[in-house]
Amino acid sequence: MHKRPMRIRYTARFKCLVCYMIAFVLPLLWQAAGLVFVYPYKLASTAPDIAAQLSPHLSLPVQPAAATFREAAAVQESLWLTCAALWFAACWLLALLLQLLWRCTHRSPFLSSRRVQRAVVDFRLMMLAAWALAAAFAAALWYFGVQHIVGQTQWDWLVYFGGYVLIPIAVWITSRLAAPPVISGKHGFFKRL
Amino acid sequence: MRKALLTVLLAVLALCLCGCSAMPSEPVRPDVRMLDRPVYADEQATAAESFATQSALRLDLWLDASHTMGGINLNEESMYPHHSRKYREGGFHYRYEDTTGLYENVLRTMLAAAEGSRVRLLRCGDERLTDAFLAEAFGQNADLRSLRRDMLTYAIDPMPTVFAGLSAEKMDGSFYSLGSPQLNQLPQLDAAMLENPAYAQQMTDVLNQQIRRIQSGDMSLTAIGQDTDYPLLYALDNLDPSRLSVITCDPAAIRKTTAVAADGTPHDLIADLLEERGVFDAGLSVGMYAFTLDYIGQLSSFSNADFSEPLVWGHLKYNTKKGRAEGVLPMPRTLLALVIGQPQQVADYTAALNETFETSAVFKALRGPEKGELTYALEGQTITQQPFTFDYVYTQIDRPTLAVHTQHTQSVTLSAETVDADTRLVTLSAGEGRTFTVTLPLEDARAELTDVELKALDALTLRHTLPNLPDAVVPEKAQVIPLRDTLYVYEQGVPEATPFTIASVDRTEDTLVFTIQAQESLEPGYYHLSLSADYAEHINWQTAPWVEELSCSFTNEQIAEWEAFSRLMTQFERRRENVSRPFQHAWGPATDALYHGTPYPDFPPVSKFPQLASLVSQIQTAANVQQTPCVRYTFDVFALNP
Repeated sequence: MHKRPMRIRYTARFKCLVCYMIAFVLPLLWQAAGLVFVYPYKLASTAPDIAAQLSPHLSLPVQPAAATFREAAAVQESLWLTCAALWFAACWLLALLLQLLWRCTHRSPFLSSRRVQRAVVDFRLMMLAAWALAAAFAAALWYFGVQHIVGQTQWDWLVYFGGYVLIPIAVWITSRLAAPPVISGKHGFFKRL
Repeated sequence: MRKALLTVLLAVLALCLCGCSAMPSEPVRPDVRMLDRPVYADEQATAAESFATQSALRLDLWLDASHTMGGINLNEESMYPHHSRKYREGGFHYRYEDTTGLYENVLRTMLAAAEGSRVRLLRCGDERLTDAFLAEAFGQNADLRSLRRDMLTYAIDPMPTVFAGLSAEKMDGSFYSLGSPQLNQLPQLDAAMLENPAYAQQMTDVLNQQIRRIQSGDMSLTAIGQDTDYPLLYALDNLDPSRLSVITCDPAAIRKTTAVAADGTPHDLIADLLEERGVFDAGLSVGMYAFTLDYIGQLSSFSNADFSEPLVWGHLKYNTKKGRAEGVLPMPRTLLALVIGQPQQVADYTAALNETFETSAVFKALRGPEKGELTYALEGQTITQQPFTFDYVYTQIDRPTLAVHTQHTQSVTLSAETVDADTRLVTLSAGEGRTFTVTLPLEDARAELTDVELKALDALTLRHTLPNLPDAVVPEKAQVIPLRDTLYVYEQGVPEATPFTIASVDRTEDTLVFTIQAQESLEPGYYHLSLSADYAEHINWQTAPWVEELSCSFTNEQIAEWEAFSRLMTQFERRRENVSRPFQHAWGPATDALYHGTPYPDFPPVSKFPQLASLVSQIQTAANVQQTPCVRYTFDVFALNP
C-alpha cells in the first residue's frame, strides 16, 4: 500500500521552538539575574579565590599583580563570576545537547509502538543523566568555589545552584511538551505541539 | 499525583525565595585590606625642605640713620657749633676731607660679601611712616610692611660708592638728618624693582608729604623722645623674613629694651617683636656683631637720657696757633649689627665678612688720638684715650635643636613582626595585644626625658553601616567596603582614646627603646600615631664673655644726674663765646672741683653698649622653646581583622 508522504506542519515546529526557547532560557535568565543583579547587593565581596583552587589542576595564565588589595579583590570577584557563569553555561549546553540527542534519536516513524516504548525508556535514562549532569556540575562548583565562601547564606545557594535545578526541569519540559512527531503520548505523557 | 508533586516543588521554591533573608547567617566582618592607607602631610619634611632648598641670596641692608648714628645734635641752639673747625657732627660716618669713619669700610665689606646677589639698601632713622598715616593714603587692607620697605628703600643693587654719598662734613640735609630730603629716593629707583611697583607714584607723594611735615616741625611722624620706638625695633618690625637682613644700629639709639604696660605687666620689647614676627619659628638665625669703630659727633641723647647740651665724643684736631683743623681725633664706640636669615645663609655671609675683617689692611689702621689729646672721666679716674684699631666680636643665636629624632632621622628604627620600614607601617592583627618597638640613638645616655607620650593623631576605622542598596548615600571622603547586603563605612577622625600604650622605655648605653603595645580593644583600621618625648633639662644659654665686657647699665639716678649737669651747662656755658676747657671734649678729666656747686659726674659710658646683656638675653628668650623636643616620631599602624 502506498503511503502518502508525511505533511510537515510548520506551526507545530514553531511551537516546539518556542517551547525550547522558553524552557531553556529560563535557567539562563535565572543565573544571569543572580550574578548580575543579586550578587552586587546580596553577595558583595564574597567571591572565593577560584584561581587558587584551580591552579593545582589547571595551568592558568599568570595574572599581572594588582597595585592594591582592593584591585586584587575586584579581579578575583570578576574571575569568580566569569567562571561561575561559564561553568553554568557549559552545563546548560550539555543538557540541551543531551535532550536534542534524545529527540533526534527517536524521529523514525516506523514500528512506532516499539519505538515509543524505547523512547520512554530513553527518556527516563536521559532525565537521570540530566539530573546527574546538573548535580555533577553543581558539586564541582561547590567543591572548587562555594564551599570556600565565608559566612554562606541562602542567597549563595539560590544564586549559585538555583539554575542547576532549572536545567533538568527544562529538559523535562521540552521532552514532555515538544515530543518528537513519531511518539504518541500514552496517557498523554508526551504531547505533540 | 504528578500535579501534587509539582505543586509541592513550586511551594518549596517560593518559600526559599521568601526566606533567604530571614534565616540567620554567620556574622562576617569586611576585610580591612580593602581600605586605602590615608596620606598625611609630613610637617617635619616640610620644615626640613625649607632649609634644604636654599633660595638665592637677597640682601636687605638696613642702615641706621638716627641722629646718634650721625652724631647730630638735635638741639638747634647749643654751646657747641654743629659745624666748625673743631667740632663736627657725622657720628660713625664722619667725614673730614678724604677721611671717613671705619663704618664706611664696614658697609663696603657688607656689600662686597653679597656681590652677585640682589641687594637693597634701606634707610631706617628717626622718621616714622605710621600705620595710620599709610592707611590714610593706601587704605586699611594694604600691606603696610611691604609699602614701608619700598618707601624706606634708598638704593637697589648699588655700587660701593653709594656710601660716600651718605657722609658729609656738614650734616644739614644729609642722610642722617631728621626729615632729610634724602628720605625719598623713589624717583631714582626703577619701579619694577619695588615690591609694589603699581604704587610708585603714590609712595613718592606720601614721602614728600612726610618730609614737608617733619621740616615744618610736626614730630608726630618721628620717634624722637619715644622710649619704646627706635630704629632697631622699626627695622625688626618691617624686615622681610624671606631675605637675609643686616641691620646696623647705634646702641645709643636703643632707649629701652623693656616696657611696663598700664596694668604693670613687663614686656621685653625685642623678644616680643621677634616672637611676633616669628623669626625663630620660621627657622631663621640671628647673628650679632659688635664692632669697635671710630666716632666723631655730638650725642644729644644716649639710651633714654636726653641732654640739653650734647655729649661731645671726638672732634677734629684743631691747631690753635694756626687756627685750622689738621686731622681727626675720633673716639671708639661700639656699633651693633644683626644678621637675620636662613641659618646657612647667615653662616655663609658672616664667614665672608669675617674673612675680610681679618685680612683687609683697611681694618688694621690705627685710629684715634696719638698724643693723649682726648680724655674723659670714668669711675672717678681720668682716662686718656689711646690709639685703637677696628675690632669686632660675633655670635650666632639659633633656636636650640638638640638632636630631635623624627621619622627622617636615619638611625631611628621601627621594629615589628610585620613592618614596612620605608613607609613606617606596622601591620598587626587587632585584638591580640601585639607589641612593636621604636629604637632611637641617644647621644647622651644620662639625658632624662619627660612628657613621654604616644598619641593617635588620626584613625580610619568603622563608623557605621548602611544597607547595600543602589540609592545608598555614602559620606564624602569616606571609604566603603560592601559585604553582602551591608555597606561598611570607614571614616577618618581622632579616636576618643589611643588604643596603644607605651609598655616600657628601656635604655642602653647609646639607645633608647620604646616598646609599644596594642590594646585588646584595638579596632581594625589604620592608625596614625605620634611618639613624642622632651628633654627634661632646659637649655642653658652660654653668654659670650664679650657681652659682659662691652655691656654697661646705669640707673635712673645716674641719668637724672647727667641730665641735670647738662642743664647746668646750658645755663652757664651758652652765654660764653668759647667753649670752656673742661667741656672741649666730654666733660673733661676727672676732678674734685665743683661746677657751680655741683660735682662733675663721670662721663656717660658712650663707648660701651648699654643694655647689651638685655638685648642678647631677649634674643635668646625669643629663640627659646617651652619644650626641648627629643622625639617627634610619627608612624602608622594597620590593624587587620582578628
